[in-house]
Amino acid sequence: MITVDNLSFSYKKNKASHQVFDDLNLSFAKGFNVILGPNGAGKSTLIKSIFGLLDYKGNISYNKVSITSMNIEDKIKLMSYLPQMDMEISTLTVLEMVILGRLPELRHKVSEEDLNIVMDTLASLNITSLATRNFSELSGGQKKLVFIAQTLVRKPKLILLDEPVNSLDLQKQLELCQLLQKIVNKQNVDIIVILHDINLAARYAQHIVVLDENGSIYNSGKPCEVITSKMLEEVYGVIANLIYDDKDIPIIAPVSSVHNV
Amino acid sequence: MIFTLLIVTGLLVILNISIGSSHISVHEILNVLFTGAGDGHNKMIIMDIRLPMALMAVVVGASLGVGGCEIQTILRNPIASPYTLGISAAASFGAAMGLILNANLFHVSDTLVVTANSFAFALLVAFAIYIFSRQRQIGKTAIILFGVALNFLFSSLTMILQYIANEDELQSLIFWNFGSLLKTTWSKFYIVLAVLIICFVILFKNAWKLTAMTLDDTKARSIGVDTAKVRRTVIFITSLLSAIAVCFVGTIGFIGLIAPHIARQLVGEDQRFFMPLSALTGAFVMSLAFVVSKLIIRGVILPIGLVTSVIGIPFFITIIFSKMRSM
Repeated sequence: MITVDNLSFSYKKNKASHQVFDDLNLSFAKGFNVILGPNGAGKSTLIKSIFGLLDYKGNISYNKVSITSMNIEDKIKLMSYLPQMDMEISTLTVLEMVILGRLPELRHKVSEEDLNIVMDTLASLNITSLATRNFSELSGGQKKLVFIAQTLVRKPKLILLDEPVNSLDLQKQLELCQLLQKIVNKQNVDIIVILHDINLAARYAQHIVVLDENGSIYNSGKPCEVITSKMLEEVYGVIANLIYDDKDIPIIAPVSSVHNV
Repeated sequence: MIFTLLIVTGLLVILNISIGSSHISVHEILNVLFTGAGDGHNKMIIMDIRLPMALMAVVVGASLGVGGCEIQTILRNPIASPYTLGISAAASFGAAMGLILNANLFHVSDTLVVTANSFAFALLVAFAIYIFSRQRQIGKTAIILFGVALNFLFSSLTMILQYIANEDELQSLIFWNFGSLLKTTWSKFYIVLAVLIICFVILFKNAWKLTAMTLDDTKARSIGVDTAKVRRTVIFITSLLSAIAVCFVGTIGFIGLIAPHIARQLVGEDQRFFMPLSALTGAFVMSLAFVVSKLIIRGVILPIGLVTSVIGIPFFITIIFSKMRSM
């Protein structure tokens, strides 16, 4: 799985520089990984670095093979990435948009195999009925599902998702997490997801990495080890009660911020 | 749709051969084209003058249509066209150098001075934009601004030359800027056709990547498109297409803007259909404008650039207003 060694990265604009990571070391586990952390902790920067969108110092490897120096064609075969983004205007139809996810394999005429994969993915997300709709006409949540479908159709070994449940209703959030869980179990795919909903992370993640506001690792491990009242207070600045369900999964009931507002 | 446009454009080519200072019947045109025999000077008029002009309208229209389609795609700007990047202004300055300063930069024969100069300056701008777009962190907005800046620079330089020009030189430059097919020869047509075919094949082979360029850069990169590389390549190819078209026929406005808009309305932005239809729509509009340019004043062929602008400006305003309504 993904191992990050001595990762350092700064955003630079003009002469100003903002250091996000300074010598960060961490490992993800096989299966369903979730990155947690407050705003500005560097969660998206970490995922972008793994996908190779940023020039960083250090090394990132997948199953001990360095992906830092891997070319874009090999990276695309290995992993797919859903960026965090707002609504997008496009004249493409949903079908065209999702087919684009198969880009490395696409020939001029879309093959039956490509089309079957696309239709199966749309069906697994319950959005087959949207296939012929214009992408721009969709709601924010529907657009998100289309982009998730685009990310899944490539059948990669590693899927990186940056806040995929944003703008989805509660049912869709649960369905998406269940689908990701199914993909992990049946297709032997590893997933790294950024979530803000700690309850979802607690329920579905096999491994959680918590980044603090300085871009350092606060803790990592199984959900029941990582999600504690202390972590919520120290990382998120939130006082919360933790309740455990019959499977010992923590459920967070926030009480207040540590700051007086 | 593509088939219908092909037929209509073919009919316009026939009409363009038919209309002129002397009317030639369709039967006579088909006779000359398919048997090589015709009455009087008809064969010479058709084969040496009207057919190359009618076909030049098709290939120049297609070149500008494809150029506009791809520039709008990679800059994600529906009102961009090859002219946005300053190529036309540079070509015009090159022509002005030949017409006003008699600058024969490449020591070519007198008849080719204006063409060679305008092509050289159009290509110079293409390279400047290519080099600029190679810089790290250069986004689409910066490229548009750079193009607009070059546009102003070369327009101002041309104005300086106009200021010092005598009446004859000024008239020649103004006429060149109108855009005209009247100086078309078979060799010029073949050059434009060859460049169009090569550029079209390269772009068409990358149709899916170009479709992905309609997305946000980060999104396109997330599905494996090297957006900076695609943008650089397309800028070079479309600049070359526009430079070749402009240097032989002068400034032809708005085809690069109109054709992709019509094509987009018809087939969306899947480049497997959008690009060929933009080319075909460009060819159709250019051929139509050429027909109109011969019909407005009986016995006179108006410069085609004037006609395309007259058609184009109301269309341009419509786009702006419809965009304002949707905002």
